[in-house]
Amino acid sequence: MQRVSRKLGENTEYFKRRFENCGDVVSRVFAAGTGRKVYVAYIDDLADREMLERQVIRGLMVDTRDGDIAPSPQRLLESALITADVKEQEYLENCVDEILAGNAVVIVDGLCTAAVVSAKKVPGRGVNKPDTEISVQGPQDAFTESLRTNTVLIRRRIRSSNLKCVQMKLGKKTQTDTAVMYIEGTADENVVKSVLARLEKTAAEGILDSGCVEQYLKKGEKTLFPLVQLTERPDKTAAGLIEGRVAVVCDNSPFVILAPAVLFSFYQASEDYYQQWQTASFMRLIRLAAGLAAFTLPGLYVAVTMYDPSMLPAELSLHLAGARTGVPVSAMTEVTVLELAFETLREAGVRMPAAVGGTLGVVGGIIIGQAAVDAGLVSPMVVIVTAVTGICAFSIPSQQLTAAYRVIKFGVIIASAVLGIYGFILAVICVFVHLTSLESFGLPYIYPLGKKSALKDTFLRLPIEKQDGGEPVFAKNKTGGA
Amino acid sequence: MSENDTPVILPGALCMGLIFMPYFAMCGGADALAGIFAGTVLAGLTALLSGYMRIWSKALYLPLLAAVSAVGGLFLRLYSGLISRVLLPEYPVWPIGAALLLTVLYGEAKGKNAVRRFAWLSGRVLIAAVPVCLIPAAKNADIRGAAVLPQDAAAAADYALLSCFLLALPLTVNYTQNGKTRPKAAALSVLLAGVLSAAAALIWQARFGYISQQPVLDLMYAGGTGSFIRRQEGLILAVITLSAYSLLEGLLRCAAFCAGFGKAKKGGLIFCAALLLGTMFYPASVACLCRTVEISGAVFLLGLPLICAICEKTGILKKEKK
Repeated sequence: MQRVSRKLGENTEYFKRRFENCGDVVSRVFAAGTGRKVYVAYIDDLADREMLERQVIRGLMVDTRDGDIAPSPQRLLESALITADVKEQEYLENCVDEILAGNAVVIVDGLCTAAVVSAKKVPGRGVNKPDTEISVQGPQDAFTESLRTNTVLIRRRIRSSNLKCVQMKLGKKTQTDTAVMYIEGTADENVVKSVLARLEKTAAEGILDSGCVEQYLKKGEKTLFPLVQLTERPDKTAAGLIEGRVAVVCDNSPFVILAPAVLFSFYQASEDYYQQWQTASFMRLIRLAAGLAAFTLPGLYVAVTMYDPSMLPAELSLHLAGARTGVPVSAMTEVTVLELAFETLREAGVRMPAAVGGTLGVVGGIIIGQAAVDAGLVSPMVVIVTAVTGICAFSIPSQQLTAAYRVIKFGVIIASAVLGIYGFILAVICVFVHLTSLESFGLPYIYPLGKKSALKDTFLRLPIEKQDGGEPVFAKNKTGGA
Repeated sequence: MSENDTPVILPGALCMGLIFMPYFAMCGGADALAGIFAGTVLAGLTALLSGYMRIWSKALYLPLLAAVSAVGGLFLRLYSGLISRVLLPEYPVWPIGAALLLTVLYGEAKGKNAVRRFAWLSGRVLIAAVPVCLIPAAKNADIRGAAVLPQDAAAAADYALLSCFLLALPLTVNYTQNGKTRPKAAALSVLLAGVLSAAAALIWQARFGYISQQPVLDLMYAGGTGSFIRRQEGLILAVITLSAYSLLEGLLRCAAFCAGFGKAKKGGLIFCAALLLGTMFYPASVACLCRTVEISGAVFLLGLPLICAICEKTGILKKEKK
C-alpha cells in the first residue's frame, strides 16, 4: 500500500491516476491562507459541498500566520477544520475508499497524513410507512436505504450502551457498508460470532441488497424456507434484538436481517403486541391455519375430487360433480393451471405500476375467472379454492414464508394427484419432516415447541405480563425440546 | 433412544402389540378386556426386562434382523392392505408400501435430530387425534356388547394393526422424553398402549358387537366429526399413516442397526428398506405371516433373553465384549 507522501505533487498524481475519466470527482489544489498548498478531493453531490466550503475550505483560506511565521502543516490543518468528524489516513488506497464512500480528503503539502472529513450526503428518501408489513396499530415508520438512518431508527428504540454495532464492508467492488447489531449479554455469543464469521467469508463481487447477504447467511442450506428473517419495521427489529437476536443492517437496502429465525417468527406480526392478547391470539391461530391451507388446500381438493368425493357430504359431493360437468381436463390439470395463472397474475401485479395493479387484479381475478368458468374451462369450485389459497397465503405476515409455501403447494398437488388422500398425507409428512430437519444458527426451526415457554408466543400470544421476566427467547443457543 | 437400546425395546414392544394383545384378546373370550389388560401387564414387564438386555454378540444380530424384518414386513403388508381397501382400491399394494418406505427413508436422510424432533411432533399430534377418532365412535355405543372379541384371523390381524397404531403413540412420545431410563420408558409405553388399546376395543365392541371384524374400518365409518366431512376415514388414516411412519422409521433404523452389526450405516438403511419391502411380498397369507411373526417374536422374546442369560452365566458374552 502506498503511503501519503510529504510531496503534494506525488499524492495528486496518484489520485489523478486513480480517478482518470471519473468526471464526478472534484479535486483541486489551492493555496491556503498561509500560502501552503492544499489538495482537496471528493465526489460531487455524494459529499456535502456546502458543508465542505463552510467548514473546511473557508477555514483553510484564513491567514493564520503570526507575522512572517507560518504555522506548521499539522497546526494549519487542526485550526482550519471546523468539524469534529475528522480522521487521519496514512495510506492513499484508504483515502480513495473514503472518497468513494462520500467523504472528502484533505492533504496539506509537507504532511505525511491525509485528513478525511466526514461529509456524506447520500441522496435518499425519508422515513416512510412500511410497504410490505403494514399494520393498523403501532409505529408507522420503516427502514430506508440509508444505513445510518436505519441504525438510528433502531438505537432510538433501544437506548442502551449494550446495543453494539459492528461495522464492516461487504462486496469486493461495491464495498457496501454493513452493520451487525446485537445486545451484548442478551444475544447468544455463538450466534453473533457465527454471523460475523459468515459475513467475513462473503466473497461476493457486489452486495446490492440485504437479500444478497441473506443468501450468504443461509450457508448453502438447500431449503425453500427462510432461515433468517427480513423486516422493514424498526419496531420488529428492536423487539428481535431484545429477544436476543442479531440484526444485520445493509446499506442501500430498506430490509434488515434478523437471525436466527424460526418458523413461528414468520407468523408473528408487530400488531400482535399492540392489541389485546385475546384478539392477537385469535389472529395468530387464524394465521397458522391459513399458513397450513396455503400449501395444502389445492392438493386436498385434487385428492378428494379425483379419488374420494364420497368423503364429503352427499349434497356437497353432488354439487362438486355437477360443477365439474363439461370441464374437459382432470381436477389436477385444472387446479395446476389456475394456480399457475394466479401466480402469473400476482407477479404481473407486483411489476405493474400501483395505479394499474388494482385494475389488473380486477381484470384477472373477476373477469378472466368468470370468463373461464362460463367457457367451461374450469369449475367454479376451483376458482374458489385458488382464491382462498391465495388469500390464505397473503394473510401470513412474511413474504419469505409465503414464497416457500407457493412453491411447495405444487409438490403437494402432484402427490395428491398420484396417490389421492394417501399421497396428500405423505406429502404433508415430508414437509413437516423437512421443517423439523432445519436449523437456523443451531436453533431448531420448530423452536420453541417442546419448551415450557412454547405457548407464550407461538400458537397464542399470552398477556404481556406473563411474557415479561425469564430469559429472552433467543438468548442462548438452545437445542429445543423438540 | 440410544442405539444400544433400539434393537431390544422396539421390536419387543412391537411383538407385544402384534402378537400377544390380539392373542390374549381372542383367548379371553367373554373376558376379552381382562385378557387385554393381562396381556398389557405382561407386555410391559417384558419390555422392561428386554430394556435391560444388552446385545454384545454379533451372532445375535442376525436372528434379530430376521425378527424385525418379519414384524416390519407384516406391518407394512397390513397397513398397505388397509390403505388399498379404503383409499386406493385401484392400486396394487406395492406402490403404497413403497411410498411409505420412501417417505421414511427421506426422513432418515434428514438426520437423527430431524427424526427425534419429528417423533416428538407426531407423538403430540397422535395424542390429540385419539379422542377425535374414538369419541365419535363411542356415540350410541351399548356397553353391554363390550364383552367378546371375534375369534377370527382377519379380525385378529386388523386388531393387531390397531394395537400397532396405538402403540406407536406412546412409544414415539416416551422415547423422546429426557430424564427417564429407556426400559422404564418402554414399559410405560406398552402399558399406556394397552390401556388405549383396551379403550379402543371397548368402544369397538360396544358399538359394533362381535359381528364386526374390522376394528380399524369400523371406527372409521363411525359417524362424522362435523357436518363438512361425512366419513372420517381420511382423518383416521392420516393419524394411522403418521403412526405407521413412526413405527416403520423405528423398525428400519433398528433393522439397519442389526444389519450393520451394531453400527447404523446409510447403505444398511436402503438394504433394510428393500428387505422390508421383500418381506411384504412374501407369498403367504396374512395368517401364515402372523405365525411367522409369532415364531420369530417368540424366539426373540423368549429365546434371546434365555441365550443372553446362559451366555452371561457362562461368561461367553464378557469375552466377546472385551
